[in-house]
Amino acid sequence: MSERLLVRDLIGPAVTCAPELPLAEVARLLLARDLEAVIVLNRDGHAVGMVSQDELIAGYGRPNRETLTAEDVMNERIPQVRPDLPLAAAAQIMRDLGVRALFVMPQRGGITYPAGMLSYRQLLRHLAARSDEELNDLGINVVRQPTPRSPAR
Amino acid sequence: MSERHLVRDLMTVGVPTCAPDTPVSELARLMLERNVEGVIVLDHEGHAVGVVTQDELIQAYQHDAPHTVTAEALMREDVPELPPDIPLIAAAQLMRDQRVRVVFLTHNAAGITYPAAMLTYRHFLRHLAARTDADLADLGIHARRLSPMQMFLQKREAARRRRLGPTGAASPRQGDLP
Repeated sequence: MSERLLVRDLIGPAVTCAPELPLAEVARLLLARDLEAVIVLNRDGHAVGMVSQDELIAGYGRPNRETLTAEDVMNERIPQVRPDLPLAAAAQIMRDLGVRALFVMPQRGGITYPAGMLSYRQLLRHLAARSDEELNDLGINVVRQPTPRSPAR
Repeated sequence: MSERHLVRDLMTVGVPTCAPDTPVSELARLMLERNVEGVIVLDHEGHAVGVVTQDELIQAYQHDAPHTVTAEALMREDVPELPPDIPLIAAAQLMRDQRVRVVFLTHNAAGITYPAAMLTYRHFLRHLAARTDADLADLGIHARRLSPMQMFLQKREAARRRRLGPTGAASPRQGDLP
């Protein structure tokens, strides 16, 4: 097992949601996909915040939690990481910031979008892996299914 | 949906445990497979000596060979605790203040105190996500649980199946306990 991996070797997809998604739906999304956090995108596709489990628990404690949406509880500061850092450095950044997910956020054409996420879950996968093959679905070099083309018009 | 207000209405009875010499790789596997936030470390006499949560486990990266560090080297000795009869909203606030994602509820029996139940962030998410009370039927003090005798029989059966293989060379005789 290689011990000297970089963030980009383990990174997974970032999941996004709309600002008006109700809190209960955000909780369902996190549970169904075992996620630590989702990125909130506005109508133009800009990343405007993050809802992690911490923000959800804060929302849980508010008296009007049935009416809250992702936008109401999101944290506007999205914790970021560079893809070429070693995993140990990423783990230290998470500890220093008190977060369990970091995002790779490149800027293209004037918008900042979440290209990938490194969370505790990927680090646990790495710690649990018996061989490199178990991590084949993670990282920047992962073999992706080609996006199906739309039928010819 | 019936209201659940107190920690005892949402907690899970029974906590995952490990031995002090359990390696990080095994702990990580347990946490992933069973969605566990923290594992209580028991010494060879069965006393709880600490806890390894995901936060402690990630600290393995500060060691030279992260996969081989043991539970004992990473654990925190102060096991975070809450009483079972406080409101859930207060528990959520206390956990955020203490920056812990799992708290344990202790039980006293025969002169020893041990962690018997737990409440994690995942419980709050489940509560937020629940559409009906049936979604939470496995949680809380009133959840249906196997009695210690049923649990023993189930484990014994599983051990027998492992020993005899899936075909069950020695199928249960008439008159055996279920």
